[in-house]
Amino acid sequence: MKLRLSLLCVVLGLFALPTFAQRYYLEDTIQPAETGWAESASYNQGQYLDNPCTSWYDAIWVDYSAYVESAQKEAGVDRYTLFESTTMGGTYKAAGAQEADIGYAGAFSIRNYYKVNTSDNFHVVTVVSLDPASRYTSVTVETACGDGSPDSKE
Amino acid sequence: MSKYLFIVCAALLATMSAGAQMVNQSRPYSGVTQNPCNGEYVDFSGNIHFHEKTQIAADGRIHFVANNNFSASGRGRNTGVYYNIGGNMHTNSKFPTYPISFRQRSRFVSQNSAIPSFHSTFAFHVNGAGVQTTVTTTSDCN
Repeated sequence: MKLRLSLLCVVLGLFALPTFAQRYYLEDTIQPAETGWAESASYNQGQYLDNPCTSWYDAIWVDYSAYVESAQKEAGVDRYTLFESTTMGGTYKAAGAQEADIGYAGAFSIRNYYKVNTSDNFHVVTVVSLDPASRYTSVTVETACGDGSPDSKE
Repeated sequence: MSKYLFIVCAALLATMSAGAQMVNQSRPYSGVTQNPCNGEYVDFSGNIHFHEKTQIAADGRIHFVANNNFSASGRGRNTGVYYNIGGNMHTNSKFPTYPISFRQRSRFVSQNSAIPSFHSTFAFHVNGAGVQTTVTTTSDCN
């Protein structure tokens, strides 16, 4: 009887081994070894802004916020996507969103220009800086009297 | 006094202009890509209008501004169907050194409803030294 039970255990063990191996294999497959990373962050920075298109200084309070998604498309490949959405409320208003798909081996910044609701060329600039090595993303706000195109002064 | 001021301002303006490299020209672009939705090869040709400005920013980084428009038409080798694509790659960015690349994905639209459209990604490889931007194309069926 004891011998039969021992043989049964061995047979069951042989059947169970592929099951464990397959499970291990599946767990190994779903590890994100071949994929990159993705992160998101929100920035809220109420502050005073001056319209640089006017000759006088007009510090106007605005409620500024930006949402940023940064991602590495594939592990080991220096290619990064950035989605950024800006909203600015108050007397000065602006809103919009832009995407970038950049191949670069190092830290870089993108400057996204959004038209402010004035009759001149006042733009608010959301500057997104990404350091892929640390995955650190930062947002700073600038103003410009131009739309950021090649012909623009700013 | 005002005469000297004018000369100084003119010299400063000349320096600023010399610091910025401008490119504003159209160049033909052609190639072969594969419609990954049905497997057929598509020969395409068109133009890319490069409008780029490069200068060194106050922080020492390269400040690259581009507004590049591309448009092309293609024809499938098997079906004979025509495809059209158009798009714009805009960037205003800063980085320490070359090279860098910017990608823009657009739809290669089939002119025959029975033949599927597909997407192509135009990659603008910026290598510095003025007019050095080269373009490559990849396609996907998503």
